[in-house]
Amino acid sequence: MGSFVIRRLLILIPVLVGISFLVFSAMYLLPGDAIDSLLAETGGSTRDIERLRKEFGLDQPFLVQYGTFLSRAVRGDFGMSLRQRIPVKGAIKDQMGATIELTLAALVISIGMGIGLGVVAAIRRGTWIDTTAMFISLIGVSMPIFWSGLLLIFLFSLRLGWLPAAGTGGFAALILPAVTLGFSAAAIIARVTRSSLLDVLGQDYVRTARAKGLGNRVVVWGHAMRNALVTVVTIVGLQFGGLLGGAVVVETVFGRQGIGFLAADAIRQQDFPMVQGTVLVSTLAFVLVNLAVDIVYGFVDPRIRYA
Amino acid sequence: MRNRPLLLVVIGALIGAIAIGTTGPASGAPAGPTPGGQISYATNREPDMLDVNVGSSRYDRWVTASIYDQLLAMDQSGKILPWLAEKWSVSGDGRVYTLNLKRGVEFHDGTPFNAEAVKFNFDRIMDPATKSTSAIGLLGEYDKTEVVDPQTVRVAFKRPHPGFLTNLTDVTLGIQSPTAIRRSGADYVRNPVGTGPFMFKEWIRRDRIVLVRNPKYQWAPPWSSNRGPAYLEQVTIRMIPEDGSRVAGFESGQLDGIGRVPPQNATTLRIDKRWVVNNVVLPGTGVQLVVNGNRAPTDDIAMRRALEHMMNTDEGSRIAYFSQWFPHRGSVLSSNNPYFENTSKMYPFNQQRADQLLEEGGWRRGPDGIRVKNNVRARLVYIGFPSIETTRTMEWMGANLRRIGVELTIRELDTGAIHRARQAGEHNLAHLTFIFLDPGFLRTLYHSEGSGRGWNFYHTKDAQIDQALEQGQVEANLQRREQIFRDFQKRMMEQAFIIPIVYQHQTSAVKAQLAGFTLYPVLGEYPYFQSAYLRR
Repeated sequence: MGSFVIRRLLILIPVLVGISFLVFSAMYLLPGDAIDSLLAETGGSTRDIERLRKEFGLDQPFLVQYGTFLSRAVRGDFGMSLRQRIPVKGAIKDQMGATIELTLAALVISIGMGIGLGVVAAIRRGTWIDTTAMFISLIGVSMPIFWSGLLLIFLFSLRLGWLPAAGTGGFAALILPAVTLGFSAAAIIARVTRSSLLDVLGQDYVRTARAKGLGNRVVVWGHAMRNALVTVVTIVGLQFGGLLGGAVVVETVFGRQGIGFLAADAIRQQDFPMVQGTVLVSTLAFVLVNLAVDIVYGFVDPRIRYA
Repeated sequence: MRNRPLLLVVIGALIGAIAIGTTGPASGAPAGPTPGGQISYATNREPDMLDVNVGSSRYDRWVTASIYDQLLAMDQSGKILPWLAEKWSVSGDGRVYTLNLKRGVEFHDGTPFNAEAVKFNFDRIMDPATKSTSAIGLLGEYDKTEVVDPQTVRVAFKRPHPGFLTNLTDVTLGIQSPTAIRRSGADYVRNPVGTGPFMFKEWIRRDRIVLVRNPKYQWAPPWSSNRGPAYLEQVTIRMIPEDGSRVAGFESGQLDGIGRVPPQNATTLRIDKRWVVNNVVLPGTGVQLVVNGNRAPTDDIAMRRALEHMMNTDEGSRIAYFSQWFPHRGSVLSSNNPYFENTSKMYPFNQQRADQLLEEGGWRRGPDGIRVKNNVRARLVYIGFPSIETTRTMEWMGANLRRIGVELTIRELDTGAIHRARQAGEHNLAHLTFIFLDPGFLRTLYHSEGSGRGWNFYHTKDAQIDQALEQGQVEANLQRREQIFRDFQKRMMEQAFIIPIVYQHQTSAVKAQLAGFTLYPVLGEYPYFQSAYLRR
């Protein structure tokens, strides 16, 4: 187990370098650069454009620019934001807390709601309960996050006045964004839970368990669910990536702090040190969560061994 | 039938106007301004930084306008007024400006405001290590600043800089505390210290910036109704990028005011007497289409002139901007610029005339109704940003152009892509709008040197235009300068390189209890809280 974790952590190094190269190339190949974006609102004489490009080192060849970035990054220095002129590391640190809070809350909601709906639908297969549960999850899958977010704001802030429409800080401000984000992930988890539970419920050992005279609750939660969870845990791990992506939209709609919002702005402004920083941190989080998921497998299914 | 929604909007706007007209100030005791209270005001984007010498974002100025003061002020008519500089004079050759500074002005950190501070700010802007983006452009061909005595500076330029006084009224040349800059170093961008009515308290990134009252403030700009310190104890600036959420936050009472109200929301907010809507014209170009003179079919002046005759700005303002943004009557300057030239008579909306111009120019209708000349199809490509208002404008325009046998393709791209596509001249029509005060800036947008690498998107070398822009930038005789720019505006329209649509506006909405709130005169975009107070 220990060596498995270490090996997986070592793989992180080529993954991060690879990602950073891809991001750097993508930013380089995109039309326009940070100077165009910096001057997009105020304009600049041709003299100013050339001067700034030089001052920011954007006139250097691609490999030189990437090399400079990489040699700094390995020392933990992601450089300065071209746009805000503050260290990228600090800017990300300021925003991390809010994103972690949001994704964790959304994860809890999506797991609770997803597994709940999925189990109910599987047990009551073919009844109106199943149809309703799957209809709810269909809505969750199909509705774009920005739209469901705006609908929630309209209902709970504007009409009912219960919750703030936007902002960060405090439990009340977290509810709507977390529900918006969690709902979309819950829908997928519900569908997977339902189908994998149905699959397991049809197996021989479940029939045996029932034949032994075990109650429905014990059969479903004690025997069947344990096996169905392996698939569900995988999906939850993958959904985490979706949550990080969805956070970009949710943070924008609710005007919340967070690195999603930071990354979206940085991409639009072609502020490549900031883009690199936010993408690498998100990659790291995604890889680590999936490593955690792999470890959880061992608890869910004792047959899985780490070699 | 087609115009029904429009009709409803117009009726709505009328009702709104009547409602506002009849309510007036709250009845009861005539509540004068009382100090105290705090408010929150939301914008749609976070500032990059709060150092005006360095930054380029307009959203920086939404906040810095409250923290810093300028040397000079400008009133609605464009007249230049004293502020931190009480008197000024210009040398005969237009190269040297002498400014006499107000006494007794102090930065928030206690540093006295004086000639040394002004020199420090200007020299810092020019220092390559500062990497100044937009302030440096306002200083033109800067040479040096001399401290004559503690209250007098002499600013010298290598070439005449007739736009300097106007530029001194720009928030971008606000004066910052030298002590704070020296002390904070690179961290100054988020620890601003000025002489303004509000002092910086804290900045919680991506959430809020908190400003508190400067109790010593006694040097308000001449256009402010409040001569002393601000009434409000505290102002919190929030950032909510999504229009729907920002408006909802305001309507639900979570916010006391918002900027960047979309035109469609402004019409409904106006109707309700709980709220007051401020709508002002912004300086600069207004919203315009730049016509590429170097790409078929708009390389043909007959085609360009026909397009001008098909632009009905009154209808455009109604359809795309719900009449909240007023129709453009000039060419490349908004109506609030003192050099504004009304060119609206040149191309009255006239479909017959447009058809006739195209026929005379050899454009014949093909079998599908689209005109063709020398095997070139009358197909225009538009390149612009994805925004509801401009998309609506272009769809409406496309429908109009079809009637004269011209086809329009709309391409909407991201900032970087749009810029490169416009520089490469892949368009016939490009969306352009810029905010600036002094027409000297027009050189950046319309001189042929900017074609391919700058902001010239009509991609045509016109000796008369280039010469006017070069001269206008350095002409020290202001009457002559005005004439140069007036002729320039006419020339741009004669050559039909610009199709103006509407003036750019800033619309803000505040609760009716918040009295005395204004938007910065002329610069318009920035909220001004110094004279604002809460009605009890």
